[in-house]
Amino acid sequence: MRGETERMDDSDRVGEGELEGLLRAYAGARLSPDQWASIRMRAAVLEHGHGTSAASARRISWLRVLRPATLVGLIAILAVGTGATAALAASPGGPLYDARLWVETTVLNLSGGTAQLRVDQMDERIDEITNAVDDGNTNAADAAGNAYGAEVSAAAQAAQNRADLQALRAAIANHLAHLQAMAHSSSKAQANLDRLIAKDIAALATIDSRLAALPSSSPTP
Amino acid sequence: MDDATIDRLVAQARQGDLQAFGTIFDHYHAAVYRFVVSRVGRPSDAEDLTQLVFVKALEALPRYTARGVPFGGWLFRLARNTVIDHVRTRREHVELEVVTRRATEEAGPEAVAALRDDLDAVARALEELTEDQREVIALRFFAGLSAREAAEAMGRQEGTIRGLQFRAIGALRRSLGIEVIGASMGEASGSEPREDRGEEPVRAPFRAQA
Repeated sequence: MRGETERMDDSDRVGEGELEGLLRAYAGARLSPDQWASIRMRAAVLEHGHGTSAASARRISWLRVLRPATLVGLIAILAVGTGATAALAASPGGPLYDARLWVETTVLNLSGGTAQLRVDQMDERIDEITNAVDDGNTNAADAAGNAYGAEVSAAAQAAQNRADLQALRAAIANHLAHLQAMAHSSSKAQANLDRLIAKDIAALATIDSRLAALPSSSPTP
Repeated sequence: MDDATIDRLVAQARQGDLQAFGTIFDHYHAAVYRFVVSRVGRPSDAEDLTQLVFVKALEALPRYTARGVPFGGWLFRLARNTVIDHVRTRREHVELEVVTRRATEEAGPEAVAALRDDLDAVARALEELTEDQREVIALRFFAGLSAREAAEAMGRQEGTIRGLQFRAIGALRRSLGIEVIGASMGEASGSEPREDRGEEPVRAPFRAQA
């Protein structure tokens, strides 16, 4: 697809600045979806995709290496316990969860804090939220949700170019679809999930505004 | 987004990469929506149908093979069939109507009113086209497809698309009072538009005629 009418080459042109301009103005003013419609459609489509590909393996995130089981040694040294006690303590809502988040964020920043690493970190939070909701553990869902919200804000602030913003947008839209799917099936964590859904929608709107403000990457021929 | 990037995203999406499909959605959804809403009229229907188009695309993607067919053409063929099914099911045809009226916030009231008049005139002019002509205008100008992609979407020859577009443009010009001196004879005889022959178009002011 050529994307927009300005991409038509000379052989395609109808040659009319005025008529083409009117048609483009008409499409822009009366035929284009508003931002919320776009977000709703995207969430619905990806929710369907999540449903059909639930069995497919998820990509391995570097942060998965830093899951509680692996972090136990480090956290145990940093804090108080060892073994299973420390693993439990480093889970969302546990007393060492904040310490674990601090380690993660420190490692992330030392690694350059790229958009992909931040997306991986948010993916990890989404997994924690999912597990907490599945377990009916609202404290854990709260803790992971708060961390997720902070990570979304930090990632949005850190993304400075179009590629990073687009990658972040795609990831948050996926999270939004996943959270909405969970909200449909879980009444217990509804308030938590609604808050996160609102956070994601607001983040997407902010990212869209920033993307719109960036100079176009494909100049008109 | 260039063709190579789209091909790469399509290949990733075919492997089940939802993030890649999300990027494809971001790239195409507004164009698909514009095409759909220009055909069905109601924004709420268009939103549902656009979703449906992408859900169908997601499900059909493993069976998609390029074979020289642009992905955009394949996607819009799905969109077109979805619209046709919708119209058949509803057993009614919703004429192109004024949809989502969005204020031009940066313009003053007079400019907004003038723009609204112009766009109303465009809507009326579009209603006077034949079904095929309107569909070509929707694919080419509202969705931004190339003639080749529009041909793929409509299952027609590229030359047929260009002919339909040429006649549609002529009809729109006449309806909107955008005249190109000598063009009406050219259109009637089926020759190329004046400007395609390298001649300078001369137009009557749109505002004075509308």
